[in-house]
Amino acid sequence: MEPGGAIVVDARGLGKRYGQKVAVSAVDLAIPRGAFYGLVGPNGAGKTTLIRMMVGLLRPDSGTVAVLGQPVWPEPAGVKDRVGVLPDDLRLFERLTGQELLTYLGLLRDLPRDTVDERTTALLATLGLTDDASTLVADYSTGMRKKVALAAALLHAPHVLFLDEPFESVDPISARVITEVLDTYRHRGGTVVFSSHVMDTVERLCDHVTILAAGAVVRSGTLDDVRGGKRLDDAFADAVGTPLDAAGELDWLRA
Amino acid sequence: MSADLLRLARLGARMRWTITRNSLRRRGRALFVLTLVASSIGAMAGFVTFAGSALMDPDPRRAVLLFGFTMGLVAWMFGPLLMGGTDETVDPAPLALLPLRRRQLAAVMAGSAATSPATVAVAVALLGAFTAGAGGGVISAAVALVTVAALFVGGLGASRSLASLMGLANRTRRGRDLSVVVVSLTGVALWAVSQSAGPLIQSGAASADSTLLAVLAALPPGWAARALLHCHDGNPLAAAPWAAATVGVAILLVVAWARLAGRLLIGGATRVPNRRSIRTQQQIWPRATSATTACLAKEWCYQWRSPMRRTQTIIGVALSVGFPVLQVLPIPDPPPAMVYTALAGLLFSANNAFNVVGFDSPSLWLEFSARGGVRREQLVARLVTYGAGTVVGLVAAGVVVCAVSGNWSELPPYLLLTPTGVLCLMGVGALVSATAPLSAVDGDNPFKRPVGATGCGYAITVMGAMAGLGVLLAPAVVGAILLDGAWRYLPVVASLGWGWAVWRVGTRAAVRRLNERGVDLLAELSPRLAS
Repeated sequence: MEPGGAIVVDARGLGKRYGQKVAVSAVDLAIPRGAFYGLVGPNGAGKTTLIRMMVGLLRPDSGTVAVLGQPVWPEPAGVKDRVGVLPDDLRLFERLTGQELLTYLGLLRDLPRDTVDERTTALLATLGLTDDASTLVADYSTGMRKKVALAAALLHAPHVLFLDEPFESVDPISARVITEVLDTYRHRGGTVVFSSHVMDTVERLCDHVTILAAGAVVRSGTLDDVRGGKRLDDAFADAVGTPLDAAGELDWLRA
Repeated sequence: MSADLLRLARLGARMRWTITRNSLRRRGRALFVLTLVASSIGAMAGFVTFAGSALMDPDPRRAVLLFGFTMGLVAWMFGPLLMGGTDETVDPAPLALLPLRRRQLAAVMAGSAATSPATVAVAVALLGAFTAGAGGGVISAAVALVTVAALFVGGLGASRSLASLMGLANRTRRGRDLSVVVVSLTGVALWAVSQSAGPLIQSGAASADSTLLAVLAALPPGWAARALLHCHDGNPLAAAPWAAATVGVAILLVVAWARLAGRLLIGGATRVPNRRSIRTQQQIWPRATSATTACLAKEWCYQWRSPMRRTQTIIGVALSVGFPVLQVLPIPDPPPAMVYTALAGLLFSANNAFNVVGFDSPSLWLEFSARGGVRREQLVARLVTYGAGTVVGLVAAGVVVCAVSGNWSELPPYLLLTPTGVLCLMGVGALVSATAPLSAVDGDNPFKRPVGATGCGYAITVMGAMAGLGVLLAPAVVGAILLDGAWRYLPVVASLGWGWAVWRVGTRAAVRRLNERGVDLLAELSPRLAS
C-alpha cells in the first residue's frame, strides 16, 4: 500500500517546448502522500522544467497537473499556500536580511506575527543561520542562500515540498542538517519531491524515484523497482545510456 | 479596497522601506543624505513651479502645466532606467512562490511602489498643482483633487508598467536590445527637451496656439492639465470630462501594471541560441588558427553574447548619433564644420574604452592564471572589437549630421579623421582601464551600474582622460577646419600616424600595468572568481 494511500501530485501528459527544443514531453507522474520522491536525470533532462510546471512557476504547453486534488493551472495561486518550493534560480530580495526576508514572506502569507517570529527563529537556528540573521541576503554565500530559501519554503508548514537540487553548493554539515529536517518533515506526514544528481543521496533518502532523460520518463516507481537489484547509479546509467569507451578519446591525456 | 488588500499594501510599503533603508546603510550615510536632499529639492521645485503657475497669466500657466506634467511623467517613467536601474521590488519574481492572486500581488507592489523618496517628491510636486487648480471654489477643488490623485496613480502605473515591460523584454535577447535602444534614445530626447524648456514656455506665453503645446494638450497628461486649468478658472463642469478621462487612463495603467507584473511571475522564454548565432560561431572559430585570431574570434563572439557588452555598444551608437544631431537641429544655417561635432560620439564610447579591462574581467583572469600574465593580443582584440562599435557610431553620426544640415562637403575629411579618433580613444582607454579599472558584471538589468567603482578617483581619472583625448585630437580637427581645399586633408592624414602612436604606447603601457598589478587587480575586478 502506498504511504498515505493517496496521490498528492498528479501530472498527466505534461509537456513544454522552448522554441525547437522539447524540454518535457508528455510526462505522467503520480506522487503518493508521504513519499520521499526523487527526480533524477542527466543535465538538461527536464527536471527543473517539470518541477516549475508542477508548482505554478511555468505554464505547460500541454497536459494537466493537480496538487492535493487542486489543479495548478490556470490559477496557480490556489496551490501555493499548500506547497513549499525551493527553486533552482533563487530570486530573493537581496537587500533584506535573512531574518527580514523570512518575516516579510511569512506575513505576506498571512501567518500571525507571533507564529512568523517563532518559526523564523527556529528555522534560522536549525539551518545554522542565526549568526547571519542580520546579514543582507546579497552578502550570503550560495549555500546560505539555499538554506534561507529552504527556510522560506518551510515557513508555512506546507503539505508538499518541492526542492530543485537542494544539496547543490551546500556544505556536508548543512547537507546533513537539511536531510534531517526533511526526514522529520516526511515522518510528520509531509511529502517531499526533489531533484538531484547525487545518486547516493537519492538512494539513501527516497522511496520513489523517476528517471528522466531528454524530457521523458525513462523509469519510474519505488526505489527497489527502479534499481532492479542494482545500485541506483548503475540502474541510472543503464536507463539513460553512457558513451561507450568514455575515456577512449583521451589517449593523449597523460602526465 | 478590502482589508486584506490594505494589509498587503501596507506590508509592501514596509518591505520597500526596509529595503531602501538597508540599501542606504550599505552604501553609506552620505548617499542617504544626498538622496533626501535631491528628493527634497525636486519636490520643492515641483511644488513651487506648479503652485506658482496660479499667479501667472493664462498662457504661461497653460504651458507650465502641460509641459511640466508631460515631462514629469516621462522622467518618472524613464528616469529610474536611465539613472542606473529600477529597484528590486519592481520585479515580483521573489514573490512568485507566494499564494498571491493578481489583485493581491498588485496591492503589495502598489504599496512598495508608493514608498520611495522619488514617489513622495512627485506627490509633493503634484500637491502644488492641486493648489493651482483649487482656487476656483469648493467643487473645483474637489475635481482638482481627483484629477491630481488620478495623475499620480496613473504616473505610478505608467512607470511601473514600463519597468515590468522591460523585465519581460529582458527575457529575450532581441527584446533586451530593443529596450536598450528605446531607453537610450528617450534619454537623448529628454535631454533635448529639457534644454528647450525655457524657450518653449516663453513661446507658450507668446502664443497659445503653439503646435507643440497643442500636441501636449492632446496627450493624457495634458488632459489633467486641462482639467486643472478649468478648475482654476472656476469652471468645474468643463473640467469634469478631462478629470474623468484622467481617471480612466489611470485605471487602465494600473490594470496594465497588474497584468504585466502577473506575467513576470510565470516563467518566460529560455534563451535558446538562435540559428544566426550558431552559424556565426561555426564560421568564426575554424578560422582562428593563432593566438591573435583566437582572441579576436572570442571577442567577436562575446560581443554578440554578452548582454552588458551589447548594451554598452548600443548605447554608445545611439548617443553618438543623437547628441550631435541635437546640436545641429537648433541652428538655422549650420556651417559645414558642424560635422566635427559628431566626434563627440567618442565621449559616449569612453565608457566602453575606459572599462575595457573591467568588462569580461573573468577572461583576463583565466588568461593570467593560465600563463602568468596577460597576453597583449587579448587586450588588443578587445580594444579592436570596441573600436569597431565606436567607428560605426561615429560614421553614422557624421552621415546623419550632414543629412540634417544638408551639407556634405566636410564628410570625407571627417570620415578620414574617425580612425585617429578611435585609435586615440582606445590607446588612452587601455591605459585608463588598466590604471583605474571599473568592474562590470553581466546581469539581468542592462542599465545596472557597474560595481566596484573607486569613486572620485575614478571620476577624476575619466575626466582627465577625456580632456587628454581632446588635446590629442584638437590639432587635426582645428587644422581641418582652418585649412581650405585639399590642404585640409594634410592634418587629417598626418593624424593617422599620431593616432597609431597613441594606440601603440597606450596598449603596451596597459599590458605592462596589468602585469605589474597582476592577480591583485584581477581579484579586485572579479572577487567571486578569485575566491
